[in-house]
Amino acid sequence: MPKPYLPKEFKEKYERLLGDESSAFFESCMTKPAKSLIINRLKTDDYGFLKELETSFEKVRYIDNTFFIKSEVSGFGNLIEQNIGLFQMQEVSSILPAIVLDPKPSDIVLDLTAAPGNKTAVLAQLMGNRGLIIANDIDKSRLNTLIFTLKKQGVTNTVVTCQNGINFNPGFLFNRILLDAPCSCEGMVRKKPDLLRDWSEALVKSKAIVQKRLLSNAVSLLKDDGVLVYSTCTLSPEEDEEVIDYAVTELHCRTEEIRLPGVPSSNGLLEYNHKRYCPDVSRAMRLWPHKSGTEGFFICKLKKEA
Amino acid sequence: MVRVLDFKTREKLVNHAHSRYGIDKSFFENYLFAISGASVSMICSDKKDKVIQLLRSGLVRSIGIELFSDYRDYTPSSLGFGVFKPCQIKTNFAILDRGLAQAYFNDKEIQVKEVKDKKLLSAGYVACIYCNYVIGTARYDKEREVLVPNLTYVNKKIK
Ligand SMILES: C[S@@+](CC[C@H](N)C(=O)[O-])C[C@H]1O[C@@H](n2cnc3c(N)ncnc32)[C@H](O)[C@@H]1O
Repeated sequence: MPKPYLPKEFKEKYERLLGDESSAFFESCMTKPAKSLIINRLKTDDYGFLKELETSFEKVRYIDNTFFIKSEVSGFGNLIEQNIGLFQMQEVSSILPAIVLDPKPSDIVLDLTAAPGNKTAVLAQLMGNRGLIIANDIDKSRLNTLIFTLKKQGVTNTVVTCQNGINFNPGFLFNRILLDAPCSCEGMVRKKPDLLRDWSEALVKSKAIVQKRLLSNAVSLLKDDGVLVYSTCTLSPEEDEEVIDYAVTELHCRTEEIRLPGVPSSNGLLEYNHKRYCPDVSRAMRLWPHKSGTEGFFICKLKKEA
Repeated sequence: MVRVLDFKTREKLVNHAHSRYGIDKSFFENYLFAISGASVSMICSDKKDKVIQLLRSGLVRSIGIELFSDYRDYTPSSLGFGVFKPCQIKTNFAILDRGLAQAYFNDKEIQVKEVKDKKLLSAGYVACIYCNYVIGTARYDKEREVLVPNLTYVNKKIK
């Protein structure tokens, strides 16, 4: 397996951002994150089958029904249990946004950029297949994967749409919205070594523009007392804190504390590149790979200002 | 285009699920049925009004879980049948051991005589069960005494 490629400009950026910590960060980028799986509670609440799978597991302390896979046997992802949807291989950081959104069985939920559907499946589990989820994405072929994932997992409360999230409007408002935004994916470099070959500051900036437009539409689709979770699998402040700063200052949102005891996370940054963000931004959650052991991730919980 | 399934066809499908597999008709009371081409799906009806509004808007690409991939000849969807619990299927089922379940996912025909536990009343589609789960459906070929996996969608190599 080749070592992940980190462009010079990328390294300089994170040296400036992290100072002394940057070497630990780059080192963590070179190692794979622990694999994990989440049990699909729509199909089973019995973990007994894990014992049969010729490998060892360790419970993830801060997420229910989730296990680190300690020693993987080859072909693990093709086991019968996986194919009938008893579990889903999913990196722990990418399970968290759905947990932070905390949808209830009575909710109407929008997953605005949903494909390939891993978080939609977790949302459906948390809702016990009740209420309604709209899983939307602009990319048809990625939606096919989503449809397959949801069928396999036995999800029966979801409508799938293929619309541009920037102007998507189904004609009603939502209690909860997940915007797991398209991003420069820096946080995934541990899993996909070539991911940053096309990385540039221009890419980061262009993603930030789309993210703000998606977020602006998402806020317009949120009920007054609704909850919106914004997440990315990237660490660039332009795509994370700066987007939240925009939500607070331009879209009249406020951030909410994320209470997930035990999650090895850091607060949102309040300053980057001579820019100061509003204090609300610190309530966001950052997962730095060198501190959390996970992929790099950013999550923020938002509400509309009363 | 996905639209709400007419009442008559819905009744026909629910009756079929009951007469062929013994599934209690009341199970379907909490679901809204929708149709797209020959494929029939069902979705939790908690927010029925919103689902209907969405269907009318023409935005919908897919809905809930597919139950029949072709409603005209009652071809079931293997993934969709995963929503049932084994205890809900009273007739036309085969309980597979791990080896046979692996053969099923490898798209291999299963000799009926190798299946210890089964209730196969007539030729046609039957539910395949492994442990506590309905893992899909297969076509029971009575002349050749084999089960032919119905894996149009689930075609994956299984360990
Ligand atoms: C980070 S991925 C989402 C991952 C997904 N939430 C999951 O957990 O499986 C971002 C998604 O945004 C979609 N996307 C990009 N631009 C979009 C737009 N303008 N409207 C809707 N979806 C968009 C991409 O196709 C991609 O599937």
